[in-house]
Amino acid sequence: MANPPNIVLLVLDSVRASNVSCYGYERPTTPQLDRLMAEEGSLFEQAIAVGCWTLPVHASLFTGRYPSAHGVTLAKDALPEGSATLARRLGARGYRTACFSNNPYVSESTGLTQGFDTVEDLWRNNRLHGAERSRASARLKQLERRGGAARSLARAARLVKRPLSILKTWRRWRSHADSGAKLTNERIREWLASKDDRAPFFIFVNYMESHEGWKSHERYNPPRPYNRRFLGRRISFWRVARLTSTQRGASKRRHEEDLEITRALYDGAVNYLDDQVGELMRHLDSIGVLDDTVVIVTSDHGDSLGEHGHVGHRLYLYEQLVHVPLIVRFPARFAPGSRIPHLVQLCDLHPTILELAGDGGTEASDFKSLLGAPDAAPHAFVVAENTAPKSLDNVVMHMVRDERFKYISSSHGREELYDLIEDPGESRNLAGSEPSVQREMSERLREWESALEPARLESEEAEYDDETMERLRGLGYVG
Amino acid sequence: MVAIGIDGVPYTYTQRMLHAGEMPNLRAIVDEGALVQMDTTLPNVSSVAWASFMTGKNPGKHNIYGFVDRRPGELRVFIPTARNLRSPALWETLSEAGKRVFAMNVPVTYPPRKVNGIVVGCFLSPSAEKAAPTAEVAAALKRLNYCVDADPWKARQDKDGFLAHLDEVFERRVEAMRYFWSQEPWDFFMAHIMETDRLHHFFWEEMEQGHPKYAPAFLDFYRRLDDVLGEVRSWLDEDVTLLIVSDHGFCTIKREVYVNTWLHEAGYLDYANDDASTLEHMAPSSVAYSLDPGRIFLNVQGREPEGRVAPGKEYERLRDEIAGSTLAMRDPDSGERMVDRVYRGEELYHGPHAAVAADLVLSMHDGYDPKGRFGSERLTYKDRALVGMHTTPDALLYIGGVERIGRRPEITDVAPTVLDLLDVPAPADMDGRSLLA
Repeated sequence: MANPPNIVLLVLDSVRASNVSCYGYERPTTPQLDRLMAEEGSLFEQAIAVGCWTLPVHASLFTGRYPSAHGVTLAKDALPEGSATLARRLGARGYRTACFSNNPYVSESTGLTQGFDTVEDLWRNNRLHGAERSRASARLKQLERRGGAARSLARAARLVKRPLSILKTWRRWRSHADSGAKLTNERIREWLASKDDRAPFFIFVNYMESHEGWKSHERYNPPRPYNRRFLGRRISFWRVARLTSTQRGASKRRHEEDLEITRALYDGAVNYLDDQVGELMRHLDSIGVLDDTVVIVTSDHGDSLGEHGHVGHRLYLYEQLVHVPLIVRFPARFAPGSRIPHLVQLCDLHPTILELAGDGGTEASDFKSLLGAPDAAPHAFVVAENTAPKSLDNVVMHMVRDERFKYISSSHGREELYDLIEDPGESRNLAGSEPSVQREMSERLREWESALEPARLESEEAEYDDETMERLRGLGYVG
Repeated sequence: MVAIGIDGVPYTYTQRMLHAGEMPNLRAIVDEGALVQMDTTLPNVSSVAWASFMTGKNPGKHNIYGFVDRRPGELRVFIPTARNLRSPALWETLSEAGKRVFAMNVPVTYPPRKVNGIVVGCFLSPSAEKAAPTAEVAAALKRLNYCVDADPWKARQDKDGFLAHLDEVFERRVEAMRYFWSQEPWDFFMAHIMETDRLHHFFWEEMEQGHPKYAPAFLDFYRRLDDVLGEVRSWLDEDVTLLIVSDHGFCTIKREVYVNTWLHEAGYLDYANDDASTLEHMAPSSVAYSLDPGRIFLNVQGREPEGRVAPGKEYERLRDEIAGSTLAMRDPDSGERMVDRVYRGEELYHGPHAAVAADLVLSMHDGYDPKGRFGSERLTYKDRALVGMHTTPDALLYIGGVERIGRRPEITDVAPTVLDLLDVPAPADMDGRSLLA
């Protein structure tokens, strides 16, 4: 075989399939993807992420294991140093590898950037609020917890802080300044220019504009003019700044309008990233490497934009959160313009990339290469996990889904079953009314769990569950 | 070699049982080897003691200091598990030398690490399934109805029910032991019995006082344990060495002692709110706090998130001051002294992980059980259900086939001794030394 191809893996953080226009969205959010990718590449119509937030999904993408198997499932977990990550394995095959991350969860502290020759921590210098709350608000929270006068002080400080923060957002709202995806692409161009050998390259990028911010008034914050692109003319910045994070205290109409604005901002962010991806593709073309490069555009998970009463992610395993776009452009192996209807796991990318790079691979992978996917469905069913227990009263969720049914089982005993053909909005829980389907689906989940090879990658700090804690308490070992 | 761990079984108590003729199988075993009293770690809790047993090292090298520990840079605690054990366990060293090993339920082996053989996780496992290293072992444990640990809350609700439950858990554990023993000719096989420790925690006082119902039940349990030891003895060919180990002794609790209450009353510990119940509620103005059992940490600048004690002179001065005044701590009811000795961290621990150790460790007089509860209004308390506490100098060690053990062993001496018996070189950084030498 000739030289292995270059690989460019672009993750548009939190972008769900349903808001991408080549996936049938009514707004023209992604004209570049529609043309450069979908027309010239293969579009996977039903790609399902293994989880609903950044950390476990990226860890799965890089290790080829389900979250329960790699164990990096809580914000404090890290992939142990020395793991056989995708970057490390590609590096061993002569690839030059670079990671451009705008998301702090993809960084040295989580062990996810290990194995890359170059790591650009773009999350350090961009102005998006990523995963961490600011120190100041953490301080205020501490102060508030103390109670008494400290609490009043904290509240007063908050009253001052909010207008200041809105003012800051306003400045950004008015400016074209862009320290996110645009800067990221600049760095990628520089890196490609500085690469002075003919070795194949692997570039991983996480773009963050489509990720929600911490504060409700800067929930999605694409730069001008994308911020206004899908927003009605009558909506002023001040109305945007008054977005509330919850329905509490808001009228139904006001709440509906809040969601509409949120969707418009999100779509603007997707549209912005689409332009940036198009720009990067043109650059790869202009330096003459595009056709030797596998370009993959996808996301790590989706986002809820009001569906099921939620905005954001990390909570549930409904389609909005797990159905992600997946488009691969590499005409030599993926038929241009093809649409693959089969269910696939997003993390099938792991063995796919290794296979394209000529790594036969002896390490176990939980996933299957997509190179055979056009002809045959690689999975009879797909699985996703919500393994961040703290986010939902310590509830762990597992989801199994085939072409028609989705079954979700939660550790607190709740079961959900949806017929995705009859009820794509997952609003009618059939658990209890379709016992044979339910039994079959839960049996599949059990089979999947028992077939899962035990965790060989161990996160640095083990979780312990409440039951263990309770036992230790019962013995008087823990206060 | 076969090793049986009997958690919390005191040397002195087994001597009593042997003299009374209550444990005929153990008697026969002891006649074939040497049974001695052994010193354990401080704190004398299972997680620390067994970690030292399996690594042959002090906590400064293996990194396990208690059932809970601080997250670095945060005022939050977590439960250390095998992932925090920073040193190879005995069976890992044996694995590397090509031996086939089996270890079941030894604290701290959850989550089970990879070996040439099988490690079944300890009582920290959330479930039997998670204690298993592979799906195959998980299926076997499920079939055997294996139970990770007895539920201590049963003991608090219903003592009789708990006894039955404890028997059941013990029986299933022995069943699993038999099953895995029959699977292959292991080079090293170890099974750990936790039920003795649980029995002691809830019935030690009744046993000592000769309670009409529970003292005989206690004795009964020991007879069953003796039967199991006899059964194990019957499995062994002449060339197999039997080892029996416990990790600490036991005594009756006179009073639980809430060290944080003492620190609070002495002005060293402030709470950020009125209903403080965890370390997170400590106010930044605090000088010191305590975690289970009897470990005192100063609130040090640069180490604790909002530390106030400056390292260096101020730290030494305050540490001396607290060490001195804890010694004067007295039981408010009887007037007895409660603290026997105070150790500075560096007196007990050395090695790459010594920096995370407590600044002071209390060694209590028997009967005073130090607790790390935050926000308690009482200094001392007598719990009706939980009646037994661990002691340091009364663990036991039995080695078959040897005439005598020449010196008083420490728990870290066991691992190098096992390696010696199996002709595998001991890692150079082990603190213990082979008892055969």
